Amino acid sequence: MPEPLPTPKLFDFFQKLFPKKTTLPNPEVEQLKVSLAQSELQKNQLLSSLYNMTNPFIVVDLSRNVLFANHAAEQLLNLPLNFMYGKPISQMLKIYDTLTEVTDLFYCPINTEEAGGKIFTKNSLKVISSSKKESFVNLTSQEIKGDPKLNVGCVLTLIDATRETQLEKMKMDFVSMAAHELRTPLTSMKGYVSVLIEEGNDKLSEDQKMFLRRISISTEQLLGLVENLLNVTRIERGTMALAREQIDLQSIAKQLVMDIGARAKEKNIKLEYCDPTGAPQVIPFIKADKVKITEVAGNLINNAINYTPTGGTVKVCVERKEGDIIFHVTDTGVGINPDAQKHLFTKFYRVINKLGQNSKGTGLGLYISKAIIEMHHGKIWVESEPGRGSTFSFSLPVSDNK
Amino acid sequence: MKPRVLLIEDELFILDLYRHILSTHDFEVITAESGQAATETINKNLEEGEKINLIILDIVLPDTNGVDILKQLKSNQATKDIPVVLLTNLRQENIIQQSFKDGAAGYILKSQITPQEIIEYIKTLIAKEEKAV
Repeated sequence: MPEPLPTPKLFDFFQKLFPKKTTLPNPEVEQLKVSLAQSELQKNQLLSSLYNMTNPFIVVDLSRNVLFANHAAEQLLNLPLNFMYGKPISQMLKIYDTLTEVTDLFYCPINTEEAGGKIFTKNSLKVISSSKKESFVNLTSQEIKGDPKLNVGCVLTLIDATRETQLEKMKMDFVSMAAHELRTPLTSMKGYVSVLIEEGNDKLSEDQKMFLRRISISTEQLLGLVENLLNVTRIERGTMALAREQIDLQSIAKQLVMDIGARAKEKNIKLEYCDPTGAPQVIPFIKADKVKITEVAGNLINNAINYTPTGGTVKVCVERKEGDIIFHVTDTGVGINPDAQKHLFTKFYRVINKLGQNSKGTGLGLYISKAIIEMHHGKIWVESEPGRGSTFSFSLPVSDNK
Repeated sequence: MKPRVLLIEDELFILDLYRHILSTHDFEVITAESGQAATETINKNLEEGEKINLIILDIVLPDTNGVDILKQLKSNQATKDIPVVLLTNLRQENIIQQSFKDGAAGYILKSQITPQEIIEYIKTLIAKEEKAV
């Protein structure tokens, strides 16, 4: 990167861009001079306002070159406008989402199919300036659809979010540290309780055995919570890794139906595996993280059982649809109203259900599930009607062998 | 003769727990609470001609980490054939994958396993080792 040039006076620069016309020789010249001066004034007023706006602001032309950047953008990138002018935006603005670079094809939408122009918006993106200074921004880019002669492709507005991002990081560091510290004593509790249950079998009364089992269940719940909190910190920091192998989603689903069967039976709920088309389908293997996908599928089945009243049915299906393998869990439970559906996959969201009970859990399961499925380039969604039950589904692409 | 297991773990509660589980299931247990102590114990046993059938190794230790100890054990002619099981609370696939490449015989996620499963797992590994010899 060359040394940035000193910023010239703004108006000198714009005068170079838009040189003044020579005087016209006809009699209407005075009138035209006035109009010209007025439009010049208006143009400069607009440019001066944009240039001095507090938030960084960049305009890109149809060939992805910088057309305009205001003072705040110059400072953010540590580059003067006369250096950036006419140069590719991809070289001027480097943006990262946690660890991966976001290319200008994403952050600067131009020539898309969307009629009104595409909007790209993303928070807490890292920007690295020419002097290697890191800042965090919330970015909104609006594609401009209009007369091609105008040659305006996209407008980028950035809001400095460095402080918020730092605070969020501190929060995550604290949660991660606390969860790690909680895990050691909980692990030891779980281990000692298991030893007592195993060795106390013929020495303890039935009540005492039950108490030990309850300690054990509570410890498991706490460990599950701690594990979920750690998963959230991994997702937010972008450090969750996948161990991909060839997996058979159909056998995973069938195994889960067997494993969770006892719990369903306790609640008198019929849990079954079904082939969606009626006839068994051949489901190809896919490359995915077996442990994590099993967790997601198990979480969806357990949720279905939690929200289905006694006597209900929970069906699990796996099917192939075009290029995807789709996993569904359908229940005859209380259903979810459309307002709540929108928030289901966000952190710490919990549905208060019709039976008047507070839902169990931390509101992290679906958030983690969504992150895991998206890391596999898949999708997760819900279809539900209050009073009739819900279907939770996720799809994983067959061809995704990355 | 009882199989001898070296348990390397710095958390006293976990150390005692595993010592208890192993000794009630007819294992002879020797312990070390740091990397340094582990090296000394192994050397002493080698000098005295005492066989170690299996090593259970915690990853996070006060003076070093289990991954480095594993590498040392596997690069030493006298210890490279002892099966090493990593004992971890870290569910980090990259560390687990790497330790298999470095020669670990297996790993135990502390928070996910019951005493009975530990015993079965260890017995299987020792049986496999004896078959191989």
